[in-house]
Amino acid sequence: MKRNPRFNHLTAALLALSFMAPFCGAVVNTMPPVVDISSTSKTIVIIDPAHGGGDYGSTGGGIREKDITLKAARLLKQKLESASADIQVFLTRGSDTAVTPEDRAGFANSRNGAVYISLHCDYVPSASSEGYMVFYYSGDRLSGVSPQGIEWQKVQLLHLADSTALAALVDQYMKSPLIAAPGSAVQDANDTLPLASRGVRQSALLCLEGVNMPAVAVEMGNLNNTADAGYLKDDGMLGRICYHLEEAIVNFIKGQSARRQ
Amino acid sequence: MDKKVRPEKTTAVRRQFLYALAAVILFAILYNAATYYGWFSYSVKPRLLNVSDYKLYDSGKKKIKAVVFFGAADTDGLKPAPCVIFESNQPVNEIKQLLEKMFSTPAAAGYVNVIPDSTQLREAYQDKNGILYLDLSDEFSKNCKSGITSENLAVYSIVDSICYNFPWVKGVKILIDGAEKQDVAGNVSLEGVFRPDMNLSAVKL
Ligand SMILES: [Zn+2]
Repeated sequence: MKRNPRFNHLTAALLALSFMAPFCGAVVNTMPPVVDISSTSKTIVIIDPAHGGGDYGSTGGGIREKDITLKAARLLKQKLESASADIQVFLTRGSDTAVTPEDRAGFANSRNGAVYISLHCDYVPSASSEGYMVFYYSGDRLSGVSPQGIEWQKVQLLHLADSTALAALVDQYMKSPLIAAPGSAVQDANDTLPLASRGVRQSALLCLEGVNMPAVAVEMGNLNNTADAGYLKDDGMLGRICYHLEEAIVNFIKGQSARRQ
Repeated sequence: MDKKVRPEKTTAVRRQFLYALAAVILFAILYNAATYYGWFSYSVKPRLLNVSDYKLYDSGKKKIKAVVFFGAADTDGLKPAPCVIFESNQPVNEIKQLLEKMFSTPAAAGYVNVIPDSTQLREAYQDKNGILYLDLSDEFSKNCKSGITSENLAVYSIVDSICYNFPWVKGVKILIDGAEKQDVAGNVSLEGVFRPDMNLSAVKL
């Protein structure tokens, strides 16, 4: 029987494809999207709405963390871009999809971000514990730093000083009364958030470790606390939280550029 | 006979070959997908330790006073609580006793549970650099509420309790079901070695 060469090639290709299928999937999943960063002179802010897709994050008070973080990220983007024409904002996810921490960091790093803010809602086992908390990456671990240098996936260790300053600034702006934003839900001239400050803390956070720029994670409230869950459910209050975050980020960027001049 | 018409026998053999080939390709795709998405696993779980097992880890009746860190009911941190274990010839066996007690003791008044439900200690061993490897059952990760604070409290309740009582432990590496895992429940990384964070309880080391 004479062999058909076209048939043989097809068979070989199909066999190769079937064995390589999982590896192809892995490559597609971890490749950060390509972007032309040379086309903008704006300051890039990356907002990371934590969790998404099958990863709900924390849950409580009838809400899911992944929904609140996406809503807050969109609000914060809007506020930052209207606060300054020199700021351009990118979200690490724009819909309810699962994105790996590596892809989020890759996305931010490929866009040369100046600031990275990861938005979360906390779950504190003590239901009476209330308020927001600001985290920056913990370099206080035995791994990550060796005599040869810093592991690439823990590049955030290079930015600890700036991230510490950013965390302190975010905490300060979240707890301080600000002049109410025009059209905000606040009746008073001052906008003071009802959320308590649980302060600033270091943690070995997956969402920050591969980020090559000053970065913080903000837990906007405790979903195990009825009052906090109520605040985060309220769109008006979420808008006010984002206004305080926006002011902190804008002032951090101003401080950074003043230091550079 | 027309040259282009194949004999029936050859066509039947070719058809059978094609069916066999299709079956092999389908099997390869399914096998790869199953391995990639972890639909089955080859790992054999070692026997889990039971609460009564810590009796196996002492070597006498001499009691040692220890302190463990549970979740505080009124703050977002940890709170110390007294505990008694028995002396052992093997220091790591004292740690096993301590953890078994922590995992099996329900929260008393003023405390909350921060160790995820049904977590069990599979094994604990040390290396020559003072790093303690803790192999925990997958309930530690599966039953942990997602949230930076809940995940941190689960980790540091264990790490702080060990480092406070056993100063020779320089760091703790947490394994889940005998393997490295990326995170506790979506937020806190398990990739590194943890050192104690006594800020969570305001107790000095
Ligand atoms: Zn989260």
